[in-house]
Amino acid sequence: MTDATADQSTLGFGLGLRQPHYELVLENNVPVDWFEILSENYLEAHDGYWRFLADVRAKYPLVMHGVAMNIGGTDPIDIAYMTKLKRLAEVVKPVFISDHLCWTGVHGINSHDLLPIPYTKEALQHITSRIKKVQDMLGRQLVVENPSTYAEFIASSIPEWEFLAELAEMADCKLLLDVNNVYVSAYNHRYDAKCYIDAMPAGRIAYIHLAGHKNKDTHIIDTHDDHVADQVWELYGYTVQKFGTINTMIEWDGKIPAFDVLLSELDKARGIAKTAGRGAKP
Amino acid sequence: MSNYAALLDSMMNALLTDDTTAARSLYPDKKDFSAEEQLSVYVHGYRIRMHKVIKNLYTATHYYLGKDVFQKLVNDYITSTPSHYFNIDKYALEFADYVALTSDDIFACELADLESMLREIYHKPETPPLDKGWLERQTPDSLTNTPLYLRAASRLLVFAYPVSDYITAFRADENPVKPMETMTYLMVLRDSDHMQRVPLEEAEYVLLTLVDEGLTLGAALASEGFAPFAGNEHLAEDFQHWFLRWVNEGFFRITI
Repeated sequence: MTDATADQSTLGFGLGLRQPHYELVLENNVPVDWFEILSENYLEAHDGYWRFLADVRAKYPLVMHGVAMNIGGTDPIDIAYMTKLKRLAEVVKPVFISDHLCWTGVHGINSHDLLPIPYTKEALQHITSRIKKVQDMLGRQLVVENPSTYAEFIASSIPEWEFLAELAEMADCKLLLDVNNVYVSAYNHRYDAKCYIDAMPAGRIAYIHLAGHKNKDTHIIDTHDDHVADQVWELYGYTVQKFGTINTMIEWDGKIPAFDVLLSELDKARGIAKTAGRGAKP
Repeated sequence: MSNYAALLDSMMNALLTDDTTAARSLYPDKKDFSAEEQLSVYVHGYRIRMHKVIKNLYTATHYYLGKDVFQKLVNDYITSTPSHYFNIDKYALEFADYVALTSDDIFACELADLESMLREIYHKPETPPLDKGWLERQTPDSLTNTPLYLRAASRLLVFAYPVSDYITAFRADENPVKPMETMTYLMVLRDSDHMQRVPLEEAEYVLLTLVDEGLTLGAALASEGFAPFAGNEHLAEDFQHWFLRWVNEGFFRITI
């Protein structure tokens, strides 16, 4: 069994664990090094789901990925949410706990979306302080993911990549580098995706996300319902060429395909990492 | 209020009011992707997401009301009622309350209520059921004097219409129509990963409700609440039949 505090840099290649594949994953030894679960799918689910997670955890390392921490929000940190998250972590013993650089609501109202941050010095101080509080509550480093964004505040005074790198340093947190999100945001805001990748602090990257998106010409929507786009594979190759092989996983949340399709995507990631990366996992 | 908080408030306000007029003061235009279009991705995304989670839960209510009426009801709900909890399921569950508040159609209200209940009960904690072995070890005295407790993932329900039958027919693609008004009694429970809807007789429902309120079976049978059914000459036979079914279906949980 993988210890939560060990193997952080050598997790390998993982998949998002989704309901259509629960049985297959539990009853077989699938060629997947680790799985990422969506924390909110389980926080208030019945005990059977928690037993299932404990059983999966006995076979594969797990990572908890959240969408509701509201780390950029202005409301106080939701203690009830954090308590549930911590309780789940005690069962799952995740290698990492991650969430997004975003806000999800204000004044107690939840948008259930990952809303964009105005990248200012004030925001940097505010979010740093909140990440530190969350890390104290969890008793471990948080892993923060760059979001896909569709709007960029006029008030932003710091490029997202600089903001993220500085945030990681100030809060002493890890980063979840979503290469698809980098591509999507770069396309939407007309900047160079490689410039973003170049600014990432290699030592802080816990793992990489890859996913599919929908290109609507004027902008891209991050849909997680398709194959990883060629341009994202190319950017992934650029990333592993720059940083070496990093733990990588495929997210596929809508129109979930047969498991074999996910395995093919994962093999593609392995192949690119082996070719482009230094010291790829055999 | 800080500038940061004000910026977040402006965006949230746009989402809740479905209004993108503030976009130009908040976001720069991009080539072929204006400030309004940027904000619209979030504004529309908010409504689509809330709509989708409700539509996925209330499939039978949607079918009964029809696309237009259902969509209007959902849109009105989204406009008037923000979500206050991290779990979006809760927002969908509370849609049944909104239907009850705003609709005069009792059947639609009951249908939405049952669909909401089925999801809510599904995620209640597991409590192992009493089994036949336990029943066999009971004497008549111990059976009537032992407090019994319903499973945590269960609920006794009463409806003016046979909404459970309607849902069954809908799920079987039988194109059901609105049924005649008929009082129906139901035990909804989750056993392992399976949701069960067990129809009850009225007397059976009343007896179980009294037990759920804390009375022993003996006290419930002798109570004023059960008095209207106590004179039934087949009561002993019925009771035996009911009780066996309750145990077989796993209505009660182990507490002893």
